[in-house]
Amino acid sequence: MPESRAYKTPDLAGLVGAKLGNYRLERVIGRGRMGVVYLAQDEALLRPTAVKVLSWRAAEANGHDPVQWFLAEARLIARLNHPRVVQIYGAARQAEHCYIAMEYVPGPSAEAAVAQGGPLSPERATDALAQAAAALHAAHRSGIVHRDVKPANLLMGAGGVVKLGDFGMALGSAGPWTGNAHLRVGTPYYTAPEVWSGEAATPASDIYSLGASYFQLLTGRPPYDGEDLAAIEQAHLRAPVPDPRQLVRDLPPACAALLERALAKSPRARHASAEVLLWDARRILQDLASMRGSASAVPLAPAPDGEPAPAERRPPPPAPAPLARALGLVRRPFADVDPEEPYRLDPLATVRRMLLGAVEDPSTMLVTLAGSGRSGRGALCRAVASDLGASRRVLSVSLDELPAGGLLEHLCRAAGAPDEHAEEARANALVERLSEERRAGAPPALVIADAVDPASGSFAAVARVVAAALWTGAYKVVLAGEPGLAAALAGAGVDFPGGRAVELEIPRFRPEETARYVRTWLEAALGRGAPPILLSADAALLLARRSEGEVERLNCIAENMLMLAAAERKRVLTTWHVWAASDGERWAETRPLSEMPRPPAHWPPEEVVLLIDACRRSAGLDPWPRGASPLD
Amino acid sequence: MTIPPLIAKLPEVKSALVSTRQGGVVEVMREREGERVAAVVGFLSSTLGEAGDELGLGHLRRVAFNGPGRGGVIAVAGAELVAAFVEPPSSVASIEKLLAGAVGQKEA
Repeated sequence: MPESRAYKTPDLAGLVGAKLGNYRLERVIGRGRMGVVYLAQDEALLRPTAVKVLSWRAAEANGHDPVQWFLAEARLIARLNHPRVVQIYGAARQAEHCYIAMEYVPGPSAEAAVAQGGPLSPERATDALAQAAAALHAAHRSGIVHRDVKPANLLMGAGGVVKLGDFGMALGSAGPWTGNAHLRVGTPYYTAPEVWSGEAATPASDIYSLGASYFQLLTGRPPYDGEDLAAIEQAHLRAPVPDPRQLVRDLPPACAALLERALAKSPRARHASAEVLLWDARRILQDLASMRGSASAVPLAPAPDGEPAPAERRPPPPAPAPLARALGLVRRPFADVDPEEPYRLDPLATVRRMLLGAVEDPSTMLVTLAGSGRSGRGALCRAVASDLGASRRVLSVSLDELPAGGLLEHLCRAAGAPDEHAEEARANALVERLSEERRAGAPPALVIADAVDPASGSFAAVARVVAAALWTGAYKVVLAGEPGLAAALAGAGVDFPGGRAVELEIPRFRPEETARYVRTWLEAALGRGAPPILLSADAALLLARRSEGEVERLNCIAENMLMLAAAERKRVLTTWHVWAASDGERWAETRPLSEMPRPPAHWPPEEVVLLIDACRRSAGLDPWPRGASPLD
Repeated sequence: MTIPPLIAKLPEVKSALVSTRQGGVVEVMREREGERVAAVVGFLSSTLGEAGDELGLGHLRRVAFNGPGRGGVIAVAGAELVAAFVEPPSSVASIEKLLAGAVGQKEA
């Protein structure tokens, strides 16, 4: 009898507040047959850590000496050093507890994400598959079979990162329990047929399990969802691979083809390795990206006045119901979600043309685009990405949506470059990947980064991306952010010779352009036969003042003005609407018409008259009428 | 341009205003919603002016319109518009004539 049989089984879930080594256990974040996982605080390094406390009973049930079994698992994981594998920090035994301290991934598992939000999009699911396949490839290369790949073990961290965790059932090819390899382990929904038949788990079994997990990410359910264990077993052994498109109708055929191969009954018919599965997933990701690009590449007649031809024709968003009912609007008139439309009118159309021209100029490698957060900068970046996406690879990212330090990781993933651990290696991998495409005759790729902030922690990575572009010529870069980006790059040591960098600024609307912008989009949004909606001349002047010429602010105020007009059932937008509408965020989605402010009995009050007078003076007009007017 | 005193004094004229052709308020008399009315007057004059051009009437000079209880006249005065709103509507014709004279329009 092994020594461990003498150990008592402690209460593993009752250790909150206890300290194991440097780790103060804070709360239970997971339970399994192998033990309980706690979120703990590393009191030496002051970082959150996942601590897995071993269940003796589980070890004994598998016929193992618990201590040896536990140490073997810890050593097994420690052999892996891969950015997509949950890293192990240490392992120890304290009194009757054995524990492993691991990297804490602060996000839900893929299983929880699907349970909470439904099936993932094909892009997101395939991206998760690719990351997990990269982790599996690293494990298999080290001679480790995971044996329990399932959505619950795919941990979804910040910035779209997916990590493979829980190697608790992993079988090292050189490990002490090779002789027990026939013991069936894993989770029934994802277990490969050969394992059901009592054969040894192999890398091909992991590929099957990852395929079954991918099926669940895409459709919300596992491939074989029987009523009992026997039914599930028979389905894995004999049932044809289900077609996921019967559950998700518009799923790309390439996703179904990948599943057909990964879920093949015979291990030989599956992907030859996790690396081949990774390549397959990357190819699908590229196809999905180019499908978006080709959808945007519908040839259109040249626009008048040399405006850039719109590359994307998405159906316009419908008007919010209150505006549709009360004013007869059929589409949302000031929706900045569509990257196309505001940028067909000056002054934004001009800066869009200049930006496209700069990117197309062979000598320009870097364009900085300066504008405030409300200037329409983000929408302009999306519009340019849409314009160019059909003709070259565009990697577009908004830095405020990424975790600090996530830029290069994101770009590598989007470009299909291999996963690397260090920032410098990632930059090299990105350059190598994009250089390959250049050598194959493709035009240089374009990296568009919005919300670049020189004061943020990610600016060093931005400087690295720009320096690599300038040095290698493998790709071009558009950086968008507050003014001063070029100077900040120079301060960070990025040296760009003259002619290779262009600085552009997003202009503000002039008052007369404001009125034209509003009238144009109102006309475009009205249903056929609906009476016009008018904007008073003074309202246009005040709107220009209150929006400060920034398109996103202007869109917000103008839509709020329409909500006010809809509540009154009036079709003339006046200074009162501007005044009341500039105080809030967009109302259309949140406030019913019955809660809209109503105009006061006397308008305008003196302080508003003074402001309107100032607007009129700057437009060369006389002050607001007084004297005989009952306005006084 | 200001509201012609002759028009302002008439008891049938309930309200009046002067606006720019773009609908900006210049002067208002007895009209609480001058800004709104000026915007509509500017829109009417530009739309009906275009319609007049299409019909071969030449440049718009005046527009008269009647509702069940009230009528109105809009006259073009250089770069501006003068509008008068009249009760009863049957008085619109006489007010139109007076307004045309006041803004210097001569019939051929």
